[in-house]
Amino acid sequence: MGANPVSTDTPIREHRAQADAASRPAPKVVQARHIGKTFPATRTASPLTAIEDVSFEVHQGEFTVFLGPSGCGKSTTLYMIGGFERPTAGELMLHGRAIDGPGPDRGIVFQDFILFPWRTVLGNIAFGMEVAKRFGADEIRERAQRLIDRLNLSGFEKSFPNTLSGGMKQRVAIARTLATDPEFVLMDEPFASLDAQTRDRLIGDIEEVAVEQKKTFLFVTHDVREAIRLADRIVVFSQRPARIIEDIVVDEPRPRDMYADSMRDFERYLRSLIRID
Amino acid sequence: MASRAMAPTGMLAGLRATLERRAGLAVPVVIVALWQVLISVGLLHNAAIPSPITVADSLYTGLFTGHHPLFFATVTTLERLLLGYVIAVVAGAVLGMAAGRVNDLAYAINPIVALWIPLPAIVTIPVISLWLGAGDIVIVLTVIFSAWIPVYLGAQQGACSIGKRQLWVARASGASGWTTFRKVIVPGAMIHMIPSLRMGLGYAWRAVIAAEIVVQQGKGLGITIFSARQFFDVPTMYAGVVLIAILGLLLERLAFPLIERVTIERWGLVT
Repeated sequence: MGANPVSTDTPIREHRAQADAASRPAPKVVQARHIGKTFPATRTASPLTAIEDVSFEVHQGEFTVFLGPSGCGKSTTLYMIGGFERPTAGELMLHGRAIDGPGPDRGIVFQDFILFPWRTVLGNIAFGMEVAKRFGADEIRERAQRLIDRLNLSGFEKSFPNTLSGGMKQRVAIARTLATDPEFVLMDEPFASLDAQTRDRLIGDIEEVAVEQKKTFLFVTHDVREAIRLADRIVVFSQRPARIIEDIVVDEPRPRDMYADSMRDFERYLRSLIRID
Repeated sequence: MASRAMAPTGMLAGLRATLERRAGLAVPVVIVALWQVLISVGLLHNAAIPSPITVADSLYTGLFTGHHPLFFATVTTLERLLLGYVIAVVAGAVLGMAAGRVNDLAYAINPIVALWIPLPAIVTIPVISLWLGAGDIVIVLTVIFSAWIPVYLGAQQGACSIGKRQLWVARASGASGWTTFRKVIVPGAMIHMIPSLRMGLGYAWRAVIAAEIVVQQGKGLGITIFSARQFFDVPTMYAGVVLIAILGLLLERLAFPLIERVTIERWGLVT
């Protein structure tokens, strides 16, 4: 690939075709074919079509970002991959099989952490391992401690979540998800409720973890810069009802120089795509 | 000038704060003192109203001398109360949490609960004693039938209020329904249940005394008060009433701050 693989004057679709042909033997682990999601009417709301016709593929070990304006249905798409919601149209496949409910192969991290307030930091991280039953007590402690050190939570093992800052809470939630070694890590706007500095550090941490561990990350955000820093592939969603308006492979070396001209151009291009008019 | 003016203000504020802190105790103390004075000076003269000192004396005698009748009555009542309360808490909590998560169960149980709420403990006693005769079991059952209602309602509310996504985290970890219940729903509902546990204990107190008076079996504070009235042992009657109030207060003040300290305060959910 060239030094400047993504720029506004490169036709993006052509670029994607090149990237696909060039070096991607990675198997397709998630396939969405014309999926739709319409929530039925409730007493207070009329039926809502969140997703109209969405197709995309996720390759093994790839960091895939779903980028789109707020409320566009990208989180719903993530929840469907997680198995928490079901599509009302189309086919959503995981390893070639229709997704039927959540599973320990897919860990999830939410914007607002969703920790268990009655468990300590250590207890929260151990939760999934306790449930999985394939880890011994020593192994649980050892793995949890390794993640605590890795995510700079040392000294807070016995703290309860409500005494921690937002950034630390999100580190705990990430550690809890990584602890059971899931194949997929689903992240639903994980940095949206954090301040700018905390977000910057966490993005760096996530990038390192993603490079270290050969997991498939599915990351939902409305933040263009987050997407550019993290993604191997960016799937751009339109406003609701969601369609895919662009599907771009980002083949830049890491860590990425966000101030490089190519990145700035790319950022400007993505912003123009998701602008709400 | 200014500093001299400040000093009395500061002292007044301190005095006021002390008074406010003690105000809860001050009002009953003043009433009891007034009551004693009225009797001592002979303004209040009625066989049905003993002086506080007479009541205190009969309280002391009943608890600490002779056959310790008040002491043993207290022990018996506390046994019935706590046995019934513990069963009511376990049953009410389990049923309530299950109903809070399983709609069909809520549809099945809630109408019964709705009919049950207005029933005073005392009207269930004749029915229960018709089945089971008269004895401790009737009293304990009355306590259970009374105390489980607030516990059930609190547990249901608590289980309802557990966020959908906390359950998602559990399911994404591969947790079974039972594991999710144990590890997420029970602790999650507990956070909201402390007020209803308090209320349940209050209901249990009323039920145990009412049941003892109606059933009239064995010992117990309710029976002590009732028979003291029949023998016109007025001071003992008052002593029993005072004892129930003090015990109720102590039990609540000892148990619930402790429960809160090891749960919601420790978890940082209240400041």
